Amino acid sequence: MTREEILPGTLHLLILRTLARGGQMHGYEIARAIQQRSEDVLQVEEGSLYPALQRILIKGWVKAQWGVTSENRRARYYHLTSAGRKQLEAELSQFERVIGAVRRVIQTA
Amino acid sequence: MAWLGEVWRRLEMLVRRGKFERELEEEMRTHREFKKRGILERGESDAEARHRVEREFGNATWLREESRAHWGGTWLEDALKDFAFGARGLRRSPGFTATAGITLILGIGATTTIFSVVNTVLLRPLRFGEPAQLVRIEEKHEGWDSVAFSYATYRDLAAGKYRALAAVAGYRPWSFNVTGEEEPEQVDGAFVSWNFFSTLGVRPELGREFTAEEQLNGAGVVVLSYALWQQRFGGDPKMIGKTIRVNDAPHEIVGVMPASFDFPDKTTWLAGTGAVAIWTPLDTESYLASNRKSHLIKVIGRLAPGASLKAAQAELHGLAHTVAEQYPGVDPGMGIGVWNLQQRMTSLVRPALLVLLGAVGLMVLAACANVANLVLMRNTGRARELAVRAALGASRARLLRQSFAESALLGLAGGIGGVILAFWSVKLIALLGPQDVPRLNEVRVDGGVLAFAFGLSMFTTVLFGAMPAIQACWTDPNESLKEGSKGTTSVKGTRLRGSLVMAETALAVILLAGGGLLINSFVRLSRVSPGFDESHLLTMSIFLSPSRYMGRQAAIAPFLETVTERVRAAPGVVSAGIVSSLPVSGGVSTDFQIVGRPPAGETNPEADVRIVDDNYFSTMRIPLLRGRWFNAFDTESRPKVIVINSTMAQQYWPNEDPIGKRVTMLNWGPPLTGEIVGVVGDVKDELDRPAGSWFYWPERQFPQIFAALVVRTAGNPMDLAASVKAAVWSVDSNQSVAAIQTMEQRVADSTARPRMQTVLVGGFAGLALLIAIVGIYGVMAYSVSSRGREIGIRMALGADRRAVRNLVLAEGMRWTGAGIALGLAGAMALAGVLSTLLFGVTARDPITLAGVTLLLVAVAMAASYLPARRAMGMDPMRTLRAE
Repeated sequence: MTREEILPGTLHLLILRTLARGGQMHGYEIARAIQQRSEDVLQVEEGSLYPALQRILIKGWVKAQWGVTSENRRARYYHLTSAGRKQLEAELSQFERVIGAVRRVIQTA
Repeated sequence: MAWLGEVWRRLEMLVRRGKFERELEEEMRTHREFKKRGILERGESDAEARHRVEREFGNATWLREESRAHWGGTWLEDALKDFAFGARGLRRSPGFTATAGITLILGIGATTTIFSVVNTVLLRPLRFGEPAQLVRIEEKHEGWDSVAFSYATYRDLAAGKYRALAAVAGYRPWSFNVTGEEEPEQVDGAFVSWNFFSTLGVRPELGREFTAEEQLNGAGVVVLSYALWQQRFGGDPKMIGKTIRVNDAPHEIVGVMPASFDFPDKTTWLAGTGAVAIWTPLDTESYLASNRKSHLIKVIGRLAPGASLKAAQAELHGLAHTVAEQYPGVDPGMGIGVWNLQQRMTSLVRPALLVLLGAVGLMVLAACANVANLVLMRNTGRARELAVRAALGASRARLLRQSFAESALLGLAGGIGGVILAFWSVKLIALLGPQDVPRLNEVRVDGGVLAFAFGLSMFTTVLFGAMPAIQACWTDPNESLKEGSKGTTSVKGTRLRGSLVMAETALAVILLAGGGLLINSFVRLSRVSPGFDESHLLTMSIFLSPSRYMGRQAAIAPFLETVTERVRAAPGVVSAGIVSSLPVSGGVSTDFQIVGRPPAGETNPEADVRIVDDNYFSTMRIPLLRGRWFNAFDTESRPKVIVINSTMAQQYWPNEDPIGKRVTMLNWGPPLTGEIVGVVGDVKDELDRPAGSWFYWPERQFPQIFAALVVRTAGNPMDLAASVKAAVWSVDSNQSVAAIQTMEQRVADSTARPRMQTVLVGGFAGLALLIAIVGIYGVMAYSVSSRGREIGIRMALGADRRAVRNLVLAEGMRWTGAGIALGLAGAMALAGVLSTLLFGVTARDPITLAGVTLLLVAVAMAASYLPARRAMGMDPMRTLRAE
C-alpha cells in the first residue's frame, strides 16, 4: 500500500472540507477521515496536522471546544466557523482552477 | 476587519500561553493514544504499536514549537531577548545613556509643560456654553483702545435690538463686605446685569439667576460662588432664600453658581482675594445713569446663531455713531469694538506665551539633534561589531531589530521621564505662575502634546539609531572587517554629524540671545525704583461699607484716623498711613483743568487721583520736593488743597513754581478745585512705564470709602498682621480687612510675568547651551578617536603636537563657527517677536549679541580642547600598531 504525501498547500483545504462534512471532529478523527476518504492514499502526518490546525485557529476559520468522546475521553473538537466556510469555498474554487489548469497542461503534452 | 480578530486571538494566546500549551500537549497525547488503539485493533503487538506511534508522530517537542510558532510566541520571545540585549548595551555605556536620556527627558518635559500651558490659556475653549459665540464689546476712543462702557452708553447698548447679537450683558467688578455671625470678610465680586449668566450660557448649580425686575428695582438679591457657599455657609442647600448682610444691607441668596464658574476671572482684579465670590444686580438707574465719562461697565455679548463678528461690529458701529452725534459731551473719537472674548482675555499674555512656546520648541529641536548625534555616533562606532556578528551568521533582520530595540528603549525611557517631569512642572507652574495669566489654575498636561513629544522622542532615537545598522546591512561585512578600517568614517557621516552640531549651536545662540535680552531687560526693570521705600511695609485693603457711609461722608475720615491711631499704638509699628489705592496696583484718574489756563485743545488733560491721610507720605518715605505735606489743619472747612507729583509739576509748570496754583478736578462728582501746597516724588504704578501726572487729596477734604492701610514696621511686616487686624477690629468689629501683603511682595507680584518668562527662557537657553557643549564635545572626541591612524601618521611624519591640536580645534571651530553665524542671523530675524516683552533694551542689542557670541566661542573652544589635548598626547607608535 503506497501512501502519498499531501500536495503542498492543500492540507488546509482538506481539513476544512473534512470539517464541513463531519461537523465536530477532533484531531485524530480529522486525520482518520482524510485517510479513509482518500482510500488510504493520503496520509496526514501529525507533524503537519497540528501546526496547520493552530494556523487555521488563528485565522478564525475553525473554533475549538473541549468535549468528550464516545469512550468518555477528553478531546478537543474542531468545528467550522462561517469565515471558515467562506474560506473553504474560496480555496475550493482556487484548487479547481489550478487542477484544471494542470490537467489541461498534461493533456496537451 | 478579519485581521482584528486575528490580532486579538494572537494576543489571547500570548497572555494565556501556559493554558494553550497544556491544551496542545493534552490534545497530542490523546491523539497518540487513539492512534495506538487503532494499531492494536489491527492485531499488532503492544511494543510494535508504541514504536510505530512514536516514529510516525515524530518529535513532540519540535511539533509543539512548530505549532506555537504560528501563534507568534517565538516572535515575542525574540523581541524580549532583543530588548534585554538593548538594555544590557545601554547599561554598559552609562555615560551615553545618561546624556541622551536626560536630554530627552528635559526636552520632552519642557515642551509638554509649556504647550500644556499655552493650550489651556490660549487654545482650550472657555468653560461656558458655546464659547466661540461669546464676544467682548468695548468702547474705543481717540488714544485708548479698550475702554469699558459708561453707564449711559451701556444703557443705550443694552436697550438696542441687534440682528447679529443674541444677547448683551454688562458687569462691574466690585468689592463686597460680607458680614454676619462670623468674621467680616471682604470678597471680590461683580454687579451684573440680569442676563449675565444666561449670556455666558451657565446655569446656577442651585437656585436661580436674577430677573429683569430685580435689576430694575435694585433688589437686595445675591448669587454666591460655589467656594464662598462651601466655606462660609458649609455648603448648606437650605441657604437659598436666606438673607445675609452684604455691604451692610440685607441680601437674599437666590442662587449658587457651579464650582467651575469664575467669571469675571481674577485678571480683572487689581487687588483683593483673587476669585470672584459674589454677584448682585447691576443698578443702571443710579446717579451714574446719564454719565458718559466714567468707563466702568464691562460688556460681553453672544453672537446670534450664524452671525459673524463683522456683522456685529457693523451694527454697533451705527450705535457708536448715533451716540457720538446725539451727545456732544461724549469722549472724542467714540467707537465700539467687538472681539472674540477668549482672544481678548488673553491678548496681554499671548506674546509672552508664544515666545515661550517658540523657545521651548527650539530647545526640543536642539535636544533631538543632540540625541540623534549621540545615537548616530554610538552606532556608527559599532559597525565593526555588527559586521562580526553578521559574519558569524546573524540575520540582517535580527541585527536591525536589535539596534532598533536599543534605540526604542532609550526613546521610551526618555519619553516616560519627560512625561513625569511634565506632570510635575505643570503643577508647579499653576502654583507659582504669575496671577495675571488667565486660567492658569486650569492647566493640565495635555494628552495630545504628550503623545506628540513621546512620538518625537521615539522617532529621533529610532531613526538615527537604526541608520548605522541599516548602513551596515548594506555593506559587505568583508569590507568592514578589513584591517585598518574602524567603523565607517565616511565623509557623509562626518558631514551629517557636523551639521547636527551646527544646528545645535545655532539654536543655542538664538535661545541665549533671547534669554540674554530678557535677563538684561528684567535686571533693568528690577532696578527701577517705585518711588518709595518698599521694605518693612505691611499693606492691606480696608474697604468701607458703601451703605453704612452713604450720606455720612464726614464720618469716614474720623474713622480712618482712629484706625491709624490704634494701629500706630501696636508694638513694632513705626508709622501708619492711609491711601485710596496702593501703588503698583492701579487706581482712578480724572480730567482736570488748571484755573486761569484755558485747555490747549478740545480735551482736558488727565491725571491719576489718590486720596491720602497726613501720614501717608512720611510712612511710604515718598520724598517732598517743594512746599509741604498734608497736615491736621487741612480739614473740611479749610480751603481745599492738593499735592502733585514731580511729573505733573514739570509737565504743566516747567519754568515756574506750581505752589499756590489751582487745579479743578472734573470727573468725580461736581468739579472740585484745590490749591497746590506741595510737590512730591513720582510713585510708579507700572514699573516699566514712566509715571504720569498724579495729584493727591487729603482724606478729610475728599473722603472716599476705598482705603488701604500702609504700616511701616520695625521688624518683619507679616509678624504684625494679626495685631494690626485686631487694632482695626477694635474700632469696628464689622470692618473687613483683606489682601494682607508686604509691599515688597506687591512690587514683586507686579513683575511676576516678566520674571516668569525670564526664568523660563533663560532656563531653556541654559539647557540649549549645555546640549551644544555635550554635542560639540561628543563629536570632537569621536572624531579624534576615529582619526587616530591619521594623527599617528602625521606625527610619525614629524607633525608638531601643537599642529595636531590646532587641527582638531580648527575642525571644531569650523562647525561651531557656522552654527554661531547661523544663530546670529536667526536671532536678528526673530528680534521682532521679543520686542514687545523688552524693557530698556532693544531686541537687537549689540552688547547682548556680542556677549552670546563670545560665550559660545569660548564654550566651543573648551569643548573641543579636551579631545584636542587627547590627540596631542597620542603616542604615534602605539596608535599605528593598534591599527
